[in-house]
Amino acid sequence: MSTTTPPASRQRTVLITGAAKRLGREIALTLAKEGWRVAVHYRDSVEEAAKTVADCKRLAGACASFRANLASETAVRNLLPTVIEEFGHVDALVNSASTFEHDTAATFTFAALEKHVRSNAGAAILLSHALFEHLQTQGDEARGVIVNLLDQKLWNPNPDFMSYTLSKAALEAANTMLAIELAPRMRVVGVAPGLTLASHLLRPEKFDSLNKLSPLGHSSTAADVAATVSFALNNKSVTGTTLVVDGGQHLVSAA
Amino acid sequence: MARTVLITGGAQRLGAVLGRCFAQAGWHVWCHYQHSGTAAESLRAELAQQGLLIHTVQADLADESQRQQMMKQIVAHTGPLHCLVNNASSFEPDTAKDFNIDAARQQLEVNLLAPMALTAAMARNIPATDTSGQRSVIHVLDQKVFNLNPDYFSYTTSKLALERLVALQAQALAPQLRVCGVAPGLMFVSGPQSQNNFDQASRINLLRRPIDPVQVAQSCLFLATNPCITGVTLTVDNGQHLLPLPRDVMFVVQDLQKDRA
Repeated sequence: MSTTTPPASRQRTVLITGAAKRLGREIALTLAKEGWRVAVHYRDSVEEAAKTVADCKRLAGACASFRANLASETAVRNLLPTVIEEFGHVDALVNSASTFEHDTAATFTFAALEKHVRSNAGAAILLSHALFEHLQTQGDEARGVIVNLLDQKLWNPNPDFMSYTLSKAALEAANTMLAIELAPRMRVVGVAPGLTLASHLLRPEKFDSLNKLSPLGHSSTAADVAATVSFALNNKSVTGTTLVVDGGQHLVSAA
Repeated sequence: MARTVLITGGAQRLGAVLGRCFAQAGWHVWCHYQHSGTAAESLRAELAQQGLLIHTVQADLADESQRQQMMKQIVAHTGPLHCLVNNASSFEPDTAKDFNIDAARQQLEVNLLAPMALTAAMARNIPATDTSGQRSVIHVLDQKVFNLNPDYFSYTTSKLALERLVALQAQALAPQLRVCGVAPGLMFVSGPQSQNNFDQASRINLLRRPIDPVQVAQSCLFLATNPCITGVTLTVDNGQHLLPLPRDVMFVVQDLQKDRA
């Protein structure tokens, strides 16, 4: 029997949404390295989720994946109870999953708005409150923390990604409101990365040239964003605020 | 080689906590003080006992020649700084209707012009080729810049300007220097405040417990270390900025206590 790992009942546990790939995976690995048990949420990325779980297990001992479509209210409401069933308790939530599709005012539809707001803001709010209710069952002293992944563009707007941006603006407002409503039991902190990874909408060449436009000559790296999430989880005095980690991208016009 | 940090007002209160925090993380600390020579020396002795490096340096931050002399002395001894924490503050009660112009000038000098001058002096010593993200300036603000009340009028004015300076200097001094703010809430008995008043006032925040200065110091250390963050302020105040009050928290508590008496 290992004597170096704390008993499972006392090991801190975090649910990270969208943790199979990209930034969510980086956050999962960083937190597992620090000893957190990680609940890896994913939607469609079965193989990637299995890989994140295997990698986290090597680092922290316990890790499991949970599939849910965050656009479905029923699926969201079922998610945290399933995680609690697996791990016994949960201490923290990182809302990292994002739906990210392009539109502008010209191509905007109610359907696109609803899709983004449901999974990017609605799911985060439901999961936050579910965690709050869970902690209420863990005794008066049980404390928890929520980190919401935002976007530097809230401080430096441009007209692209209208629905996505509105959903992140809603999440930023929810970040403040939840910090007030769920205090003193929970802290709620926003982390707003800049351009961090190339994506299906942004090819590597374009990514490199955009990245260089940041004042520091590079925007955020996934490791620096993950370190910021870890800081937000650990610092006991930060709540109801957002830390922008973007190489200064929000200071320069994107136009 | 150890990274070097200058902490202004580094002998007492948050400054001393910052000194311990950076030194314990392996930084070589310069502790600036004005009148607190004894406190600075005892902090130096305390850290030296733990084998940690700390120098003390005396200067009046309202005096430009003393500011420049201090920066020259530091660079001559340990080379260009890796971090500057503008922590020293002048904090005097006054109001919008009735303030002493000399006292207001003194507060702007220490709280705004000194951070501008020290940052500029630091920036001039950094080679243009150093774009590693490892050099930073941290301005210590106050949660009240995001949660205004009209008490301590000149002090608040100076901190509001300093808050805007964060983004402006971040634009101007990138990529050699990162510039960040840290906005704490009430941490120590302040001005005319009694311990009894502090005990009550320090719990007036979302988390309903006093702010641990170590958490504030850790926030400064985090910002000094993360190479991607610039032009932003981190509020470290147990959520005090989300509880608007008509006056400074110490006066609100005073009134509450009077009502109860």
